[in-house]
Amino acid sequence: MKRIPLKINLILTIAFLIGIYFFLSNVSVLGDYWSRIVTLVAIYSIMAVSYTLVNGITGIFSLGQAGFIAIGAYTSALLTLSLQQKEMSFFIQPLIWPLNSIQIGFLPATIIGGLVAAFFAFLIGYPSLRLTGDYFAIATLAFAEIIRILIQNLYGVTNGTLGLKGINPYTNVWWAWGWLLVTVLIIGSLKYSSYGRALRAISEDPVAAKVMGIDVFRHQMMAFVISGFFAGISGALYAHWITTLDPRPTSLGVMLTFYVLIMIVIGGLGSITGAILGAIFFAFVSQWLRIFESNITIFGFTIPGVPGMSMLILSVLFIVVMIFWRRGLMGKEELNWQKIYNFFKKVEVQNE
Amino acid sequence: MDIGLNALIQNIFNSLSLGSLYALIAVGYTMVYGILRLINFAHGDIFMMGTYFAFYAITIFFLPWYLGFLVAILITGLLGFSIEKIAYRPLRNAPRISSLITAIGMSFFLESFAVVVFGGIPKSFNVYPKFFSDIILIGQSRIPLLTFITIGVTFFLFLILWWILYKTKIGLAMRAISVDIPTTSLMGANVNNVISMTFVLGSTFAAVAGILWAMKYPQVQPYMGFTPGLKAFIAAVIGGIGSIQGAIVGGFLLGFLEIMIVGFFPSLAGYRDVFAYVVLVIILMFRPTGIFKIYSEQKV
Amino acid sequence: MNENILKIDNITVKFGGLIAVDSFSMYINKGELIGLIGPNGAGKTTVFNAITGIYKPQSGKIFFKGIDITGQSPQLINQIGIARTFQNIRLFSDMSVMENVMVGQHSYFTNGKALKFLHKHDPSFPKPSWRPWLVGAILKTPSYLKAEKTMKEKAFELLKKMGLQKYADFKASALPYGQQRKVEIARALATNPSLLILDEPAAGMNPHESEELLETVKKIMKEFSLTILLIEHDMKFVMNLCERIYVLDYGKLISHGSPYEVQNDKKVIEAYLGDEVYA
Ligand SMILES: Nc1ncnc2c1ncn2[C@@H]1O[C@H](COP(=O)(O)OP(=O)(O)OP(=O)(O)O)[C@@H](O)[C@H]1O
Ligand SMILES: [Mg+2]
Repeated sequence: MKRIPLKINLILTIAFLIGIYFFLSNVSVLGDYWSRIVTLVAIYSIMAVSYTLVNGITGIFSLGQAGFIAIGAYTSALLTLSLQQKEMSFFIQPLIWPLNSIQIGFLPATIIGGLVAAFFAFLIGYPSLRLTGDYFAIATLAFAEIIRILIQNLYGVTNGTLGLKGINPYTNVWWAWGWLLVTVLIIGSLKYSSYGRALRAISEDPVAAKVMGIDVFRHQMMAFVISGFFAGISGALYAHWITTLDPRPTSLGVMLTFYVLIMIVIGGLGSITGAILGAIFFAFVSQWLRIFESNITIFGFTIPGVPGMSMLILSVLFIVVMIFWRRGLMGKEELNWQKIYNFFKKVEVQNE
Repeated sequence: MDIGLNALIQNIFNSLSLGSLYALIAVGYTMVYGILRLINFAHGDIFMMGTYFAFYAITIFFLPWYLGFLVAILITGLLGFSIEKIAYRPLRNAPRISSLITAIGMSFFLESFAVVVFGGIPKSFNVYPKFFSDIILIGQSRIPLLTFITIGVTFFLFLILWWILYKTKIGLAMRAISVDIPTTSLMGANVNNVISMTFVLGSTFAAVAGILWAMKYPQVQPYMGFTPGLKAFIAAVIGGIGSIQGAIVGGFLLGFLEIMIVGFFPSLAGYRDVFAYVVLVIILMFRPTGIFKIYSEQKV
Repeated sequence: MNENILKIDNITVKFGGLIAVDSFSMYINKGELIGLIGPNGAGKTTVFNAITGIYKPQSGKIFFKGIDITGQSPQLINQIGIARTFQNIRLFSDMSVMENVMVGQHSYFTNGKALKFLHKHDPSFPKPSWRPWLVGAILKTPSYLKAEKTMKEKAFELLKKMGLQKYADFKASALPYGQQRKVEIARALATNPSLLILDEPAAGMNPHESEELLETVKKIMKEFSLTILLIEHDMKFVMNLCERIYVLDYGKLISHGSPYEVQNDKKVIEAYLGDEVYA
């Protein structure tokens, strides 16, 4: 098949980015509800891309993603909440100093959220990365649960079960998509560097990688910390999108890890573009499936909605993908113009 | 002094009954892991399904409680059988991580299924005979009859398990297969049957644990299996995953730990769920093979 | 004394009750080509695993260039100059041949710890300086891009030397068996070793291929001034190539000497005959 020259590749990419820019500038045409979803898509994508760096590219199976997202969310929210709001919310136990007397801007709060999450990733990675395979998965799950239970109990910091309310709705389309661009550029650049090759080698055969002189622990730690950072960023964006936080397992707990896992499995473990496609798919399908959860009226008959239906369908889909189509959409590869071209060429040939 | 002693006796019985429940669930994890090297993530949700089956058998089909429980246990066994056959068997030769992901998906599926079919709102599990809550006095300590039933049933089930493993042909095959699948199939045992049987056995145990659990904290809801399931898995790791004695010992250890720490330091009650995770991390750090070491490093 | 590039001193490796290697000792001088042979299950691969740090011997010591490396990590041992291939080929099968070789070069560019280790034992080695390499790799700084370019050129050169250049962009798993073994050697060479250890490099090759490999091994040995230790079942290969030979049986050293001496050693003949009777 014909190879697309570099120049055309570049032009197409720039055109694509401009297209996205115009779409985002005019997203308000879609109405409030859908522009919120478009923002959510970017937040989900950041969660998924950072998760696939660990679970796909590095090939270690973490189940702790929600813990880092929660840390980013709480940290940034505590930094941007207004002082009055803090005083109002923390009525069981007052917020500790210095959090009770500072309020900073959204950007620094987001970055600090990411850094704190990255720091926790380091603390958690240090013991956990000595374990392999499913032991690592369970250890990270346990740590994520520890984080959640701490959030639930440390009333002086997190307001415990009461959660945080009235977070400023700073996250708009630009913040979310801007951070997504940063995430993709950094993690993509990492994947296609000498370090990325080392990470992929580790995911295929850690023993052979070690014998090639690669310090497996250090490289895994590096991936885990970078992933933690962006998970924290996505948490910060999420907090300022949803504006209330609480530590129930079904919101910032293991359920969220499952959702992100669904995204990256559908997209293909190890593919950045796949993770984004998976996130888009998840966001829209879970919205769309909600029609099963509200009452539907057809010809005057009302079919009652069934709560939980969307997740049931998604979980079935997830299992089916795992059994019959383990590659997901993209496998470990990335979507590029060449692939799109090849795909349409193939369709054309089949139609002739 | 007297009050302290009473509290201690009370705590010991509480630990034994909680430990029994963990041990019952942990046995299911450890048997499956021993054979397939798979963390059956859905095990905690099978436990949850067992309680719902019991609940509906009694409230909708008006079975007497003992029959309702029995039917629920059998149906749960069937559920375990089908899960293995539909979701895990096609992936038996896939990378281990794929089966783990599928098991996570299965857990998610069962939870969503319960939300859709049974409803997300917790239901009160008041379908057991009232005399289970009768109080028995030991000295000054008031222990509910249910505690004794829990401990007794668990003990009885472990005897049955011992009998199956050491006195029956299928038990022999189960023990052989956990050492080496290819050799066992050469010996003429039908590997698929043995694996199915393991899931059935593990799931029935989980159902019994679920029913006992639901009577103890009389409530059922779709996510009730997650935490006990995870903790029972931790119990299995503490004991040395793959080892049945280990799972039992680990279950009781965890039960004692949770009850006793909160008993002596009531201010830590909010963190009760953290202890298990902390113990897990410590065990994994310093003795990942658990108390009863089964697996050694793999060959290069 | 320091002429020994590798010295193994009475190592014992046990797996549970099984003694895979039993107080085994050997030495290799700089520039030698040494063979390690023995019947199946004799413990040869286990010796390699002990040298490369995959297993820690229960007793005994291993010295490399006079430095005690017993129980050090595999990556460190590689970084200070020992590279190996595997008996059951362990290429990164989803990656291209070129990428496989470049993985071998990765740590050479980031080997701070190895340099520190060497520096401690012998101050004439340079002290490592911290280079913000990860950041450079992500931001694609000019110095990183230059390094990446050098890596690519070097890797291609290596492939050429092994006669693999036409496969550079192939997926490693798509190559024929014999070629995969050669890629493993190229990948090992990419880590800049001074001691190369090869675990059955000619296994699964036809006589013609193994002849070719023999020449290649001689060539690279000269070109990279390597010392080589190899395990091989192909007796012709070993006898033609090796200067000295060690023979293992049931984990114990049963013979050692020139190819001629070993070939005529009664114990060796017995060990191999016994093996054939039971095999
Ligand atoms: N990780 C391990 N665990 C248990 N036993 C092992 C392990 N590695 C090797 N062995 C055993 O140690 C003995 C020596 O094995 P080794 O692989 O070193 O033999 P070898 O000489 O390389 O044989 P071959 O010519 O077949 O490659 C064998 O009995 C083998 O089964
Ligand atoms: Mg060998």
